[in-house]
Formats: sequence, structure tokens, C-alpha cells
Amino acid sequence: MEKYSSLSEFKKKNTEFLSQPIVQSFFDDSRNLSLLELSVVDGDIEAQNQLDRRFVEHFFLCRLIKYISTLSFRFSIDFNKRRRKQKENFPLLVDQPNNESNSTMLDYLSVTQEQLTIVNEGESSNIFELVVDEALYKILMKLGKKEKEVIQLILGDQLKQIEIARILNESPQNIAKTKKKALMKIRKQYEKRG
Amino acid sequence: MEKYIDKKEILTKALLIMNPKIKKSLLSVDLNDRDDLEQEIKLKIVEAVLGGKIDFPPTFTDYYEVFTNKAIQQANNS
Repeated sequence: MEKYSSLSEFKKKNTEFLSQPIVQSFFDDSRNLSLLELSVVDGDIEAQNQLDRRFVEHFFLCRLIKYISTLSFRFSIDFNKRRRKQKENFPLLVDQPNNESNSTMLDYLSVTQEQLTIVNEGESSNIFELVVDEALYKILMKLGKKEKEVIQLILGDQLKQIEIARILNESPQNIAKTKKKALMKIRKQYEKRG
Repeated sequence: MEKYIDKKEILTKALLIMNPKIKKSLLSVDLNDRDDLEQEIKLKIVEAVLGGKIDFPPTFTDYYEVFTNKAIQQANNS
């Protein structure tokens, strides 16, 4: 680079160069400006090398930022498209048609209303016989007679507390109390067991 | 000149600066896919830098010379 007598002379002769956006943003940092002065006015080689390196770093950063900006914008659009296509081409496993019959996997897995009523009818007999857990069964057997009765009516027969009160000829509050006590007992003993 | 520049440092700087922009672009996709997308974008950026996909810029002296030569040529042509 040729020499100049002062920084202002360089600025005057290179207005167009200095008005380039990349150069402008580079010299926003005053340290770069003093480096330029050293290299242009004094002919300092070390300063010029440093200036070159800092300029490359700055330029590279700018290019990278531009790249990220475009990439993140375009890539999200692309990504969206890809995801949508994937969903169309590969539906969930349960939605795929079954080979043997023309129903889907979902039809096979789901429970129909008929099946539900069968289960319900079988269940209504005795709630205590349905208990599989041995520890829980023992605890249930230890409950008082009235507590057993209330639990059976609530859980087994799915009755409301008011209905139970009518059947047992007691106040609803009393039924609620009995139920609460029984459940507390079960929970306490069940937790103690472990 | 290329070996004197710490590309990784510039990469970290750029990622820090551009993080809000990346986060903003995530808003256009489904909530469940956002983390995936963020990871993919960042991976692409890292790949681009380490793979040399981004052109290496000229040094200050080179840039200055090219620019002034161009200006002289344009002046001669007109």
C-alpha cells in the first residue's frame, strides 16, 4: 500500500472505499482505525499484518452471520415441508390397513360397546374377588362389615352415596364418613406393608 | 492467512450473536419439532464452517488493491 502523510489524507482519497459497508463496519472499532494509521502513515509492517488479520476475522464473521441468517430462515421452511410429507407417507402404525381384512389396526385394538357391557356385567358380582394383590386382599378382609358393604356398593355396583344411604337406611353424611375411613385404613395399611 | 485465523472462535461468536434469530425461526414449526430443528440448524452451521463451505475472505490489503484497481478500470472505461 502506498504511503500517506496523514490519516485524513487517506480518508479523503479513498472515500468510496471507506463507504463500503464491510469497511465501514470494520472501522467502527477505533482500534482498527489506529492500526490503519500506523500502517498507512508510518508504513508499519506489523500493524499492516495485524490489520489484515483483523479484517479477515471481521469479514469472515460477517459472512457467517449472513449465512446463519439465510440458513435458519430457509431451513425451517424446508424442515416443515419434510415433516409434513413424512407424516403423509408414513401414517401412524395403528392407522395402517390390515392385510387380511380391510379394517385398520386401530379397529382391531379398540374396544366396542358390546365388549364393554360384557365386562361390566361380569364385574358387578363381588368386588373383593377381583382383587389380585394378595396383600391388598388381606387388608380388605380385615375391614368392618359395614365398611365392606359400602365399598362393595360404591366400587362394585357404582352406586351414588345418596342411593347407598337409602338402601342402608342411613344419612348420606354417615356413608361418606364410612367410605373415607375405610379408604384411609386401606391406604395406611397398604403403605405400612412395604 | 487462513491458518492464522481461529475459525472456531468466530463460529462461537457468530452463534451467540445469531441465537435469537435461530430461536425465532423455530416458531414456524410444530412445538414438538423445535429442539430437533434447532439442533439441525446448528449442526449445519458447524459443518459449513469446518467444511470450508463459507468462502474465505480476502485480507485488508488484497481487498483494498482489488477495489482501487476496479475503480481505476472503471474510470478508464468511461
